[in-house]
Amino acid sequence: MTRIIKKVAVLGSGVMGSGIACHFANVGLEVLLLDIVPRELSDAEKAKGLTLESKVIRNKIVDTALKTAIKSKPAPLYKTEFAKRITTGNFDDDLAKIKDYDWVLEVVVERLDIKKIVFGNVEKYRKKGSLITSNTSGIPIETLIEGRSEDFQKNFCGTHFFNPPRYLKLFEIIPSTKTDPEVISFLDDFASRILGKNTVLAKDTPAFVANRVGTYSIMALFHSIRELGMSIPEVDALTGTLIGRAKSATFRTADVVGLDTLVHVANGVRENTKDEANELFQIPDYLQTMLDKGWLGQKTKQGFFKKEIIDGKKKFLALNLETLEYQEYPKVRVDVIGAAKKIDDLAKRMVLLINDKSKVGDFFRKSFYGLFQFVSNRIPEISDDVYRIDDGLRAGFGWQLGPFENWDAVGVAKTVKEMEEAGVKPAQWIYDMLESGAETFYKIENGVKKFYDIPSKSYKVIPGGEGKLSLELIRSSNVLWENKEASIIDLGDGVINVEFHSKMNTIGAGTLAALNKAVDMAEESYKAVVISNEGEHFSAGANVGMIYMLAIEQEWDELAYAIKAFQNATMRLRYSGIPVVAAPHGLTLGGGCEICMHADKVIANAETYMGLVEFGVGLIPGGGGTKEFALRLGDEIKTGDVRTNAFMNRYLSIGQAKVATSGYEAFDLGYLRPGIDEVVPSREHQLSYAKQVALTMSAKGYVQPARRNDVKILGREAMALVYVGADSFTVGKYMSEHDKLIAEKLGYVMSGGDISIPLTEVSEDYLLELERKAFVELCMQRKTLERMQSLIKTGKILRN
Amino acid sequence: MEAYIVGGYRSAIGKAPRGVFRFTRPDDIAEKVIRRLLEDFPQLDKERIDDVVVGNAFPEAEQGFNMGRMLSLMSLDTVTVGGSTINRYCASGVEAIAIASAKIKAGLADIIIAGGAETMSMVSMGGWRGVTNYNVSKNNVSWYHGMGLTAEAVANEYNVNREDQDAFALESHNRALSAVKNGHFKEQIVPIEVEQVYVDGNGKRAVKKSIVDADEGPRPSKIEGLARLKPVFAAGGTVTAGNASQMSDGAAFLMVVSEKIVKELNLTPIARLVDYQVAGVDPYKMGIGPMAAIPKELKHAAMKLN
Repeated sequence: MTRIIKKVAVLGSGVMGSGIACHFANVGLEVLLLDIVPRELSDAEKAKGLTLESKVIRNKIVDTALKTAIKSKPAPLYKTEFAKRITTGNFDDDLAKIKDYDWVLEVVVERLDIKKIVFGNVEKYRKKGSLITSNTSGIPIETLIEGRSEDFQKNFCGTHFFNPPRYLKLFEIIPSTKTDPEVISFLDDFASRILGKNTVLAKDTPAFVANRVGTYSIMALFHSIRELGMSIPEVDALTGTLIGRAKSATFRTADVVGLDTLVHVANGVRENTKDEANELFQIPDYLQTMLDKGWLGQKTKQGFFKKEIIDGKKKFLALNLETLEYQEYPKVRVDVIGAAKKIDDLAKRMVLLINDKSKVGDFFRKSFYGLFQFVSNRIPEISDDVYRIDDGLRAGFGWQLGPFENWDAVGVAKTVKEMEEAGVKPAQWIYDMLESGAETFYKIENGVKKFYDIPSKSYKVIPGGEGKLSLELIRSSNVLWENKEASIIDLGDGVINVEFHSKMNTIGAGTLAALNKAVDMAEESYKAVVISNEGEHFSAGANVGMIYMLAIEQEWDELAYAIKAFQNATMRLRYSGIPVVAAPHGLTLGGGCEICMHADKVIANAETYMGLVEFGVGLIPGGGGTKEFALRLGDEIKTGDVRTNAFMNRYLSIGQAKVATSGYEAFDLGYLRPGIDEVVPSREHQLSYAKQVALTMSAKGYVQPARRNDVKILGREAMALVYVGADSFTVGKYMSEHDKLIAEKLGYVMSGGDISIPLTEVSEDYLLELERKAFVELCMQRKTLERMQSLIKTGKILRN
Repeated sequence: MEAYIVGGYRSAIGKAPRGVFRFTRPDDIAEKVIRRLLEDFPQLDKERIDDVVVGNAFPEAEQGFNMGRMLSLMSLDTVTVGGSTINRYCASGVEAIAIASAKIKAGLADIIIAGGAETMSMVSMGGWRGVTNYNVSKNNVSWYHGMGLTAEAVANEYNVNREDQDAFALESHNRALSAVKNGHFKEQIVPIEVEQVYVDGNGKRAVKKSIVDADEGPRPSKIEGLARLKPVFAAGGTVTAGNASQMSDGAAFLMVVSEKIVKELNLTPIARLVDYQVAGVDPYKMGIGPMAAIPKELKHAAMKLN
């Protein structure tokens, strides 16, 4: 039986319920969100003559919750219009509607008795064979199905989303003993491909996988911080991005999650497990005091940290655990941290830290030995497989490396020896593994990632890889060409991929060379080019440092030449005999955006943040982006349109350096083209889909497009508006004089130069020359140089 | 020959862009006002009316096609009376009355219906296709400054601070509310029926009718509320949505006739336009217009302020 989900009902509109409903709406589904009817009216409502029967009252709880969720930050919806896909209702009036729904997801309060009542009611109306799941984080799945029918039990499963549902990729699947295997494999595929999640199969144990290990890690530090005599800022400095974890490290993460939530999970584990780590889940006394005082973290504006205004300045104070008072702490400066930060490779950095001879090394050894022992002891209790635990921590807690990957990085055998000496022995299977000759938990063989399978004592392929292409896995044996900034990798089947790998994937001469080389190579002996990479961001833009150097030296000819090289590279992507597909993700700014805009198709991830942001460094897009906006504008204008308004919309995307907050929003800002470019929610499936699209274009029959010499420009009609608009903003002090200069240069290029006849047709080269000239002229401006310098030195945007 | 104003009516003033008249065309509102005005003169043969002069600040779209002529056809039930549309922005209605009075005094007409109508909900400031002059935009851009920027310029140059502006606004609201409460506008407002044909929550066509007979703008305000508003035209400015004029929809018309007609039809004049002068100032601080126009007017009329 093929299971198709058309409509989803979410029961419970709390923070998670509303967020989950928004994410289902994100991927295009019709959603019904229900909650309880209020029990009583407020005085104001009574005064209005409303009763508990009034429709507006009966849906008040769910409507308010959804409205609050939609306005929350970061935004749960890819576009606010997607909220229209969600209908609200209440359990009394609307639960019967679930008879037409394919998936009912329970997200009510964490109480077994209440959940059981809800399931009893669901059974009255539920369509036979429909999916019924629970988002519970702490109640055993097996208890939730007690007393339910066979069809209910067969189609029931735990589905644990993480907060916030749009952004955190982890999706734990927790079957009961009665869950049909088809349900498990369906959820695995649906969550991965359609919801864009990283799925982890977990056993029905307290806190499942990610929270069990993640909370252990936090609780262990909550205890050891006192033993080691460290401060909260010190611990956070050591347990954040330094070791490839979330920026909010340990204590800040706890504040964000909410201390009440954290304690709830910890208590759940403490009360329901009996293992060697049980004591660590005991709440330390200082934490209990904080709870009693109502210091719950971000939601109560104070927890381990508190923002205060001292002498008119905003300060971030941390709690002194001895005195339980907030104080200012000096910035944490430790030699080994400085040395470690210089190492880009996280694995190498970990080796440095764990072997450090000072107090810092002690800290890391204590933390990691404990973690390694803990996770080794949790198999097979919470999961049979090492990779699932690593997936859980990476996707749910933002760790770059999961615990077993960490262990591989610092050396399994070596560390086990040290752990024994420290009296922290790992589980027996670790010894069995080493004895069998396996030295690592993972290895890559022939472009396939394998994990150490404990029962068979052999390496097995990590399942679920079909339909997922990963550069990391295939790179080692498929690099066709590379330089310092980029590599060309054979994806197989005639498709080659240009992978950026410079710092922040900025685009320099090397990247441009790789793009040109790839197109040449593909025209020679392949079918298509894909441009994608697996860095944190697709590209932060052109290498501003390089431009700055040429400008500061006043090498105007060289600078013009360098800009022409960039324009030539993007034009080469457009004018090539083979299809070029760009597959961006994350930040795709400036030059990175321009590269995508010149591809035949863009297959963007839902979490892609595209923008032409050159204004922020005192420039205009000089890699063909300004030209491209003028070109798209000319193509979009139809007879009878108010073309000056269309001009202003496009102009403002660049003029206000607008960055889209999702792949979908990029269409509204003009960076992506409706009907041509697409958005894919799943990061794991994006590259294989992009490759498929490229091959389809090739199979269909691809011709290099004819060069455009019919680009319609508006001329002085549009430039007049730019003069008026820029002046108004400047007089209104929303823009500086320098902003005004850049704005006028931008207008000049986008309107096609000083032409008096609207809809005059020009070539792309004509516009590219205007773009180049304006770019160089701006580089001659001192204030532009200052803006560039600010970005290079401090990473900050200067508005001078 | 002297010219006299013998009658006048107005619609209520709705707020733009989301007020009571946002779905009602200005010509439809104006027609009802003109018809009400004519009801006061049953003895007047409409074909004797010489012209209809209508002031409008952005005569395009719903206010296009020479609204003056269209209103003449729509309101007078005859094709024999002309109509024109004139524009002096916010002074368009007053200008229409001046034109009417001048023509009558010059002997070129005896009876003119003069006034104005505007929808800022349907046609916002700048119109649908604002195309500025290239050379002016480049060399004299302040000639195009909007009223928000000119207000800020006046406030800055003449030291009119935020508190005084808010206090003035509060007083203005209070005076308007008091006038409304005392029924001062009751006689002059023509109730306008507004009809909305829409699709309701059940997907069915529905019709809603209501009568608009009260000005939407005046509201009970507090100085603290006004003080909380943020400036909307300039960063760090003093002009806010609370102390700036509202945007409005509405219509108002007067009957202007010659002395001869007053006698013939036994009419009672209400007022007379004694004099009318126009002056210009640098557009960037447009708001100080009265500083040029009032002295000129007084000189021309040989009158003193008191």
